[in-house]
Amino acid sequence: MSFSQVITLKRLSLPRPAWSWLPAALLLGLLFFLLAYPVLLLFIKSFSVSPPGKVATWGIEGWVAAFNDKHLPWAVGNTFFLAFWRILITTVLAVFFAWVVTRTDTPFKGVIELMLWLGFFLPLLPMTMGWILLLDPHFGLVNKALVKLFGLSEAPFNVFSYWGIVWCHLAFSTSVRFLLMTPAFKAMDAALEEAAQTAGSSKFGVLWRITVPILAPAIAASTALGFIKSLESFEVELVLGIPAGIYVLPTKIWDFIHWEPPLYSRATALCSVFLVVILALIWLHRFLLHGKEYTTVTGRGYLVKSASLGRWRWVTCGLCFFYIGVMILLPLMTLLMGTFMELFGNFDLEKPWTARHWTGAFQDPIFLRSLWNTLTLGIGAGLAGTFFYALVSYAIVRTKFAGRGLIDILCWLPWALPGVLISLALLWAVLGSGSIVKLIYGTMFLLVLAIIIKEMPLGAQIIKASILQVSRELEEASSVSGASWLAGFRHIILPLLRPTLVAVALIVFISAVRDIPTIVFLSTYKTRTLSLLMLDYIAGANMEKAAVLGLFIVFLIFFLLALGRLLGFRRLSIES
Amino acid sequence: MKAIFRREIFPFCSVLLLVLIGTGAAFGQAKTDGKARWEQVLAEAKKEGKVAVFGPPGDLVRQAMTEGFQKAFPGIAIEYSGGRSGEQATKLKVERDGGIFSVDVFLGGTTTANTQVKPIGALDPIEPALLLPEVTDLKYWRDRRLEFSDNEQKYNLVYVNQLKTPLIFNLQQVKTEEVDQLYELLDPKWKGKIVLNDPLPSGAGNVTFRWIWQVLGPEKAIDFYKKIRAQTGIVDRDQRRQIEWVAQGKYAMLLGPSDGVMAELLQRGLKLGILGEFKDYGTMITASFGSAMLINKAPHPNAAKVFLNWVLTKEGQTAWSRALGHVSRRVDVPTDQLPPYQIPRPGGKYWLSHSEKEVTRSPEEEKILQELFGR
Repeated sequence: MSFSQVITLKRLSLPRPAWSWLPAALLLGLLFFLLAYPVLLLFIKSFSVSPPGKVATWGIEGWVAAFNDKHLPWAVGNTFFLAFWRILITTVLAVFFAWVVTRTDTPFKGVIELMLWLGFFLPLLPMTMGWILLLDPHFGLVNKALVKLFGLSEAPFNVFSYWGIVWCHLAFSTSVRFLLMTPAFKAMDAALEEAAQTAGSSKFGVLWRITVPILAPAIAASTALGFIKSLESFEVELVLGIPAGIYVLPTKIWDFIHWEPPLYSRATALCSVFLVVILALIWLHRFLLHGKEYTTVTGRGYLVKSASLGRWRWVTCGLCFFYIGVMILLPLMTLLMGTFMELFGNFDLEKPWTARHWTGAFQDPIFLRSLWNTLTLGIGAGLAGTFFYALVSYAIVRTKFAGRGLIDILCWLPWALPGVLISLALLWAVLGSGSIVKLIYGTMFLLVLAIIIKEMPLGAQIIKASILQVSRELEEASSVSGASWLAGFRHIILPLLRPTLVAVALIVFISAVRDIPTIVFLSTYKTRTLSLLMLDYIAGANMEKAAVLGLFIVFLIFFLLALGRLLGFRRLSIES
Repeated sequence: MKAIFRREIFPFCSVLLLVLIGTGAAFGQAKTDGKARWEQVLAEAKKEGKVAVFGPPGDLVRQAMTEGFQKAFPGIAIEYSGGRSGEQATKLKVERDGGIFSVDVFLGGTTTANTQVKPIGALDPIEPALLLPEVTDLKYWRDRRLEFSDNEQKYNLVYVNQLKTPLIFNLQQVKTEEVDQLYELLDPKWKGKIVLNDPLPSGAGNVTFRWIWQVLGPEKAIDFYKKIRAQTGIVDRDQRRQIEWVAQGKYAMLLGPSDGVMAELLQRGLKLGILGEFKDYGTMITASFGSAMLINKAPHPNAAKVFLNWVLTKEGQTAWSRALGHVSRRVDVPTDQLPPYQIPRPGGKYWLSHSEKEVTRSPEEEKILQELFGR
């Protein structure tokens, strides 16, 4: 054995320093302070039953009142029914699109991918208004056209229904799932699929028996995340569900929050349902993935190759464009048209068309400052958040730290609460934690922190799934060669994770620029964003101006992406 | 005769003359003192440099308040934050609990004022802060008095008084005379064609049902609630959507519309039938968002007084009225741009929906409303 081999062996067998657990422990402490402390504070305060201004008294009246509601079982049932169908349909669609775009030779894949991104950028509430204009049973343009064309006795579609709610969610939810899954699909070694085809499997058989199982962590993570998000969704349900008598759990939480005075204890009590669901999903996630290997990126490299579909490629292309046309472009064009209407959907006015909503929105004196704050928030949360999630995910997947299971659970906590309660919890936490912490109140830093906390489940779980795909042998090889952990992380892990990191950064950026509830209590006059300006317009019954701002945010995102590419950030996409 | 004049009349006239001279001097002194006090407050306000105001949401009122105030007092910046009163009150409380005092003046609804802001001890009495003669002279105010909504009559000054429109209807489906009495709404031909503004949360629907409880009395009101609920096509909380439904003919009428949203939509061209008041029971007066609170421990106390006085002047009230379509309690604010059905008639007797004791429902009323409208 040579001297260098002895040194290498000795290096590999050297005991870890006593303080090697310290970074992970510090991370756990930080996560506890950022995530668990505000949530605990909120739940503790939910047992305060005194009215405003009275001496604090404690009791369970709020919880009893919340769960004693005779309508609650129906609301919970509706919530799960809608979430189930939404997640089922979007999983199928997202897997299909991710497969088409990354693993096949379907023509115009780049355009398909871009259009699917667009589905994620579009503002949910204004898009719902677009669907109402198309599918309202009395005045919807599509319904009126079909009734006239086919001589129907009544409109065939009714957007104010269970399926209307699921329908309006499809574009956004599918696009999010697509964005989250695609990096994992790209990183899969095509050799596995080639082997299956050589053994006689059909192309769709390969998809079902090889691709989907190998990518189970990514699919499972995005499904779990999507399911939680579906349970908590309320904007579309509020607009479409109430007229149809469909109430969901988030609608009830929203009602309690907007009572006068607000009933935060009852709202928090109902959020415990989400907490139970999250804990169940964490357990299920671990149960399904435990003990299996999902490595697709190893030291011997991996083959990225599109499978040839033959004539079927035109079918897949057609299906993708049909989906994009119906689900994304049609409501988008309707929404755009609506922003030029005096009153959205009212064609019978004397002067139904106007450009004043556009001029009014951009001439608002606080528009420019709001825009600046929005960019600061989006870029800050996107970059800092992604880096933080990568550290957290690495600690969960790659370290042997005893508390990594707890870190994993903590990462899910923010999604147990709707955004407005997170905002309130953080406000209590910041203002009640001493004069040094209080300094961040009223700053953009606090808003960035709030978004990073809010998107922690998404960021951490998706990056975690990507890290699981990367074989440990790559880091071990780096370590054996003498590189430090940081050098290995920077030069090996990060480049391999880049598509996922870009996707997560993009999603966090977009979530940040569009978020309203998470920052509503934390923002001040100086830190107001475009999304809060949108809220101002909505509260003033000016949906048209709010839609203008929503579309402007879409253009802004596209502009920034284009600028990024122009400045040489060629990898500013989820292309590897 | 001369003796009577010398003994009685002359001394009396002398004393009277002295009293008049003294009063005049005192009055002149008070006016001079008042002016000096205002100048002093204004000078201090300019040193403070800005005023922080919480107010109703909407870009029109935001721009009216900020542009108007800036024009009147260019040396004092205004930081106007619009939002839902309830959320703003929550934030105010949490900030104060954390030792942060960032708000000077709060303009909002009386329900928030009395149920959330006053109970946390955040308010200063308003009258001592009123300095401008244009504001303190009662001849400029309806009924020659300032109106407060709170029981103590000092913390929540109401500056909007307008008639609440109880009903709007679709012009193609309904004639005014078919619905101009309250119980006509229970006619079977309207079954399924009525939309109700949800009476449970605070707002226009809440106020309308409180008014019905007042005018009918508990027993008849409960009966009416049950019957109108059975007649209703839908109960909704989206203030704009429900008005548009009526304009589009989806529903024939709406009970308890939001006056502010309705005014905005009418201005933008929507066509609606409007019932200003019922022939049999009339209607009520509402303050909408139009009340002011002076926050104590304010960061800019003098600027707060300047803003408060300004918003209560003719100029401030005119800006408010034009932005929100509200009827000011000031009698010198033009009302030509406002619909006549909103303007209280001189000498008219109306139930004040916004006073502290009126905004609170009795347990009996709360129970029946929860039973009928809980969701």
